[in-house]
Amino acid sequence: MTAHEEIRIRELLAPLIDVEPVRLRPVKRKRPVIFAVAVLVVGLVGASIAIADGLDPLSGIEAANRPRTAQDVPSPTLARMVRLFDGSQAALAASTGRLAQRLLPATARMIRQLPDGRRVYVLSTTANGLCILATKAAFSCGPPLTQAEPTTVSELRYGPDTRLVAIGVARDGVRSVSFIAGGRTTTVPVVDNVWFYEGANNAVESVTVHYADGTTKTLAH
Amino acid sequence: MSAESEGTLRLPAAIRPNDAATARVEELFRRCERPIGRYLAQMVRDRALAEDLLQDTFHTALRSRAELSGVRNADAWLYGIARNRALQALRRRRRFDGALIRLGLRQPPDADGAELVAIRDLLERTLTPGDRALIVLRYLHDFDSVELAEMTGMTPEGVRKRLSRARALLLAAHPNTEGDPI
Repeated sequence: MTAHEEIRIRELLAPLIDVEPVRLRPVKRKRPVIFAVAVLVVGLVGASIAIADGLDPLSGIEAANRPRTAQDVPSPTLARMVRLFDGSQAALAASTGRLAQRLLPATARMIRQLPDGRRVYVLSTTANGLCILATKAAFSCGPPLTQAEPTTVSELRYGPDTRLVAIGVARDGVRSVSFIAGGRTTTVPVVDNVWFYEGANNAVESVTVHYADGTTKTLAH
Repeated sequence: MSAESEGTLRLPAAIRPNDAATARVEELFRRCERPIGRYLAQMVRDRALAEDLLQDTFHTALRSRAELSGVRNADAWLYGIARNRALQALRRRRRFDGALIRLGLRQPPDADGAELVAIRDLLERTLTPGDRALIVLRYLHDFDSVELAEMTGMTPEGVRKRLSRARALLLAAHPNTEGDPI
């Protein structure tokens, strides 16, 4: 094919370039369900308050245990994440029959700014899930931190030719985290419940947390 | 390919076995929702149908998320799902349109601009839905023949031949870009 023909094909198709993309539809909830949930919430509010501390997925993360400030207000990036997460959970719920959970933006707390400038937020979901967001990257959600799993491990790659970045949020009392990366054991400190590693390798394995009291815990693999 | 390039974040399956694949699909969709939404709107005239197809694409990707770990080009994988959904819908729509014609009913008027209507008419008149999908993905979304082969299950050489034939058909149907109406 000649360059001239290539240009003609592209010219021909040019009107299609600016077609406005369609977007995922927001989830619509039926009023009777909202009403039923509202009644249920009113009925259970007393009991919920009593057990809220035990259920709060941000409990055990001291850096997040503070009043909300301006730096915690969701950025446009976080707002997009919230919208996408809620849409994806609704889709997942529709395909699996599970109850959809939603993010709770008001619970977002910025707990650390990484050396590369990215901010790390934690926030919770309506199903008491713990979500972690590093700005300008996707986010991940899972169950709250526990004794058995005292840290999250998230691996980011900003581009195909960039080095791997690993980030984790650890429970209070975890002083450092060590792991094997590229065949070498590396230990990084936990600051404000966040640990951070940037290396040339693409796998973080055998993660062990080190508590302030000298004990250690190796995550199950 | 034209999707924005942003960081990916995943949880190792050993630590979050149920969430890693879902998180990867979410990240992929976050990055590709807009270009795939545009692709579907380019492929089908009906925006409501394109929205349904985008939803279907996301549902299918979530249901098939276990496949993603073995996929070399995740963007092409997701576009491939969108392409299949669009082609299925176009086949159904063609049967439906045939029934409308047989019943003597008219289609609703197209609300798009004249230029857009003309190029869509040309593509529909000249190319099969499969060839149309290839042309759109190649020239409007910049996938190469290797990526298109991954999406379609064809060989790269097969893709090149089909693209060549589709280009020839388009140029024959529209021999002069200067002055001739489409």
